[in-house]
Amino acid sequence: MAFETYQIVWWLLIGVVLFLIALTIGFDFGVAALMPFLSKKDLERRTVLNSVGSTWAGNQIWLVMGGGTIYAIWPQIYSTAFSGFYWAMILLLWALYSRPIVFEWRAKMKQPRTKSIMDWSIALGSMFAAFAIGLLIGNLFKGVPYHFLDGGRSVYTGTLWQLFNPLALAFAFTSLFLLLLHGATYIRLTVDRLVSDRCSSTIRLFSLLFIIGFAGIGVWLAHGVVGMQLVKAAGIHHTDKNVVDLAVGHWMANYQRFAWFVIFPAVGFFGAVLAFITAKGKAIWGFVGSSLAAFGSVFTFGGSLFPFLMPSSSHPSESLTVWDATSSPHTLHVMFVAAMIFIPIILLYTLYVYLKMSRRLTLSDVQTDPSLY
Amino acid sequence: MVIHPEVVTLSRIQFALTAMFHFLFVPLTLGLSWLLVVMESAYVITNKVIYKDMTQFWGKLFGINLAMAVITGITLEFQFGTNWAYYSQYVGDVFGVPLSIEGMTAFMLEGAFFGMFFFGWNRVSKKAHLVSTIMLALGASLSGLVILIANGWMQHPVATYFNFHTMRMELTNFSEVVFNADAMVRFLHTVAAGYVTGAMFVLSISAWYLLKRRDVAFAKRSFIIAAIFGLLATCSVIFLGDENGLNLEHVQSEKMAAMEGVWNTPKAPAAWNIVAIPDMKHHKNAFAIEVPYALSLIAGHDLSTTIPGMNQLVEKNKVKIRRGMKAYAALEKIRRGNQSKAVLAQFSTYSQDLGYGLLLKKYTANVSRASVEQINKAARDTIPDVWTLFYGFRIMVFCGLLMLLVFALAFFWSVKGSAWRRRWFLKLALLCLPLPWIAAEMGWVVAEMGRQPWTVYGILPTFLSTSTLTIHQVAWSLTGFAILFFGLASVEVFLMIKYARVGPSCLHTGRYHFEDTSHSVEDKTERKN
Repeated sequence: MAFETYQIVWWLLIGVVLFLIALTIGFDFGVAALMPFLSKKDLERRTVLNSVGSTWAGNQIWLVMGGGTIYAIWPQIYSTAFSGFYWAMILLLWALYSRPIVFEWRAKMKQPRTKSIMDWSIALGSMFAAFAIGLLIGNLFKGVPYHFLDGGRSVYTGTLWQLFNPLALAFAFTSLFLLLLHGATYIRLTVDRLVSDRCSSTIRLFSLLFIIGFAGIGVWLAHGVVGMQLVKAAGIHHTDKNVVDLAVGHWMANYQRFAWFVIFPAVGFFGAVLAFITAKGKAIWGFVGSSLAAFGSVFTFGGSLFPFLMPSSSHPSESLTVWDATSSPHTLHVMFVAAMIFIPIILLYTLYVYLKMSRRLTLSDVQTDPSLY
Repeated sequence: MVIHPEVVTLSRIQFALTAMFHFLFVPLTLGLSWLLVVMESAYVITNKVIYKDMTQFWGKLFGINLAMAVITGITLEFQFGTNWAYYSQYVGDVFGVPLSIEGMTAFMLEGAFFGMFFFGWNRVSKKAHLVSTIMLALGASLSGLVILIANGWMQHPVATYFNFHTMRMELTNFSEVVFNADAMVRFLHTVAAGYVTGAMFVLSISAWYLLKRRDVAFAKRSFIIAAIFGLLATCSVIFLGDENGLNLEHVQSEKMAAMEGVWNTPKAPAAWNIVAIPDMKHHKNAFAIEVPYALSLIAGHDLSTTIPGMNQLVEKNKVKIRRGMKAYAALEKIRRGNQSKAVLAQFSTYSQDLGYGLLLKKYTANVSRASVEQINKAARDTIPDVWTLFYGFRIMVFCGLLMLLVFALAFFWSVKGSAWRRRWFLKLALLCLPLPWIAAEMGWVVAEMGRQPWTVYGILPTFLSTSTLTIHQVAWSLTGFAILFFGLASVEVFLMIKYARVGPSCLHTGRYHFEDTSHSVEDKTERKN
């Protein structure tokens, strides 16, 4: 395959991995985020938490794998984003610590007070993670103030506080709504009906809020945000510079250039609507709906920016794009071969484990099984 | 661009703290996972429920550890980006590949079967459950393999070249990176060390139950399995460590010389310093106790081998630094647009020593015109800290040999059936509990401190590898990590001790010590089988 083809293929594959992260981590973070709100009773909280007991560890690996893959495919994105967003990344990381700690330690604690602290810390940690990821994505659309020194060393010239701009906050809350929606549809699908029936109104609320956020951001990007268009692309040679055109509405240009991209936001809306109307119906449709909403969101985000990956607001010509941020052709090839071999195998055994372990968890299951969390 | 030396130091401390914290949990998961496979296989074959209890109990302690190992591993992955951005951008083309493949192969396997192992006892068949345990163990060891391939490349960078178009190192041949001999030996050494840790953990805690005379049948069986497994693993570690040493002399002479405190190249057969007081100022040992012939025997398994001394290596590296300056000068011309044949030829002649030129960046911005003084300083930097390496290595070896002795005796006496009577020996086995951790941490200290001043040996100096950050940012994040790790370690140790104390009674099967007042636990266990 030609280098450009590989670059596009990897953009797509990373999109798929990001979707899998949103899909799997999405529900188990969402479940943890909703847990203390759904019930005050320990047994009910435990039941909710244990609905992801056997899969959360595997799910978080998608995050690890996504990170590793971005590292290998877009090393400059990885290094520039992680070092530039230093405090956001460190705080996100610390929030992730709440999860293994609470899963592994909660059942081993005796005091109700300790348990309650743990419940709130995993809920807030999970919510913060979704919020922070949304916030960073929002900042990509806003543009990130960074440039490169001679030789390729990246320098971020912004502050932590400027990440909290209105556009980015809109992304952050929409991301949070999606998380809570996805968690709620999962709980309805897998937890004792005594608890999960309470989720219908949650699903209604957050699908509605998500639709408002998703649509609102679209309108905002079309009419109120300076977007970028790539007039001339730089290659991976470090002396090359992009030629970039800046204007309000440019982030919507892709939907004219590649009309079929409209599928992405359409699927996002459709999924959320589906979840909304089936909020009291069959639980599986709600879960399908929120999964489609996650798919639509991830690809709408990628598709609107394309071919940009991380636009620079201070030096637009140094923006990182699909064309200039990738590894060498040989590395893309090696990674492609590895992905084609391993990803199908992963999907097979993951599916096997999911099928073997899935069932609707009842309160009495949790009461009688001492091995559960 | 001025790089604050403090940012470099703080970033190094932060990474070292995280890596060493991470490696408190990793070796135990590596070793314990295979012990679980052995115990559960015994259950599937013999159908004795005691083996199932053993798998579940040791599995509980395994679970607490695995969760910590994974999250601290994610932390290391994050830090490559947050704190080592230039490293990531400079070598990501190569280093990213194993990192990503580790996720695809090892972590996924571990993650997926994690849930089935802990919660699948009543939901899947016995054999399917055993498969999940095997997958978990396989995943743990595989992740060791792939991460040591990545680390092996940092120690001995093969199959890569500097591309002046992209200003970074690029991969030429992945299978060479995978089958890098250095990586293979180091992988086996590290994983075997993990097996030793798992075995020592089970052996020590079982010895404690035996001392307390509770859950004796359970503890005896655990003790024997750990003794056999530990003996085999310790022998492998020592053998592979020796192989590693044979390899090291060719791959990283500076590390070898510092580890052995050799300042001047000795004549073969060379003597080995068993104890020394290195004098860093005058480049010699102020005091040393020598064992004649031993260094040649250790380094080459014969009497004709010698290893280059640090003073000679510094001289050799001065030549490399001068070559690196020429490479850097050519590179500057190329980047200004002069790609004439002569310039390109000069670059390709000297480019393999470009990294040595970069060492000068610590002392001057104008690398191609560095003074003799600056070259001397940079050459001096190529010798890692002798004190740390010399004693780190000796502590590791001492722990290893002591464990070999303990496992050998444990094996011999438990086969003879007399281990249970020798209470002093059970006490010794209990006291040995921290040894594998000390040895493993010292091993990493020697490996990583011994590679200094490089992150990628001969290619990228540590000094240049950091992100563009302020001292405040790193100082506060380091403080945060220190508090976090201290808190986690406290709770972790508390939980481990709590569960180890309660013992298999925590499974609530009604078969063990604290669940039974009649103290006829043994009979009860046997009968239920």
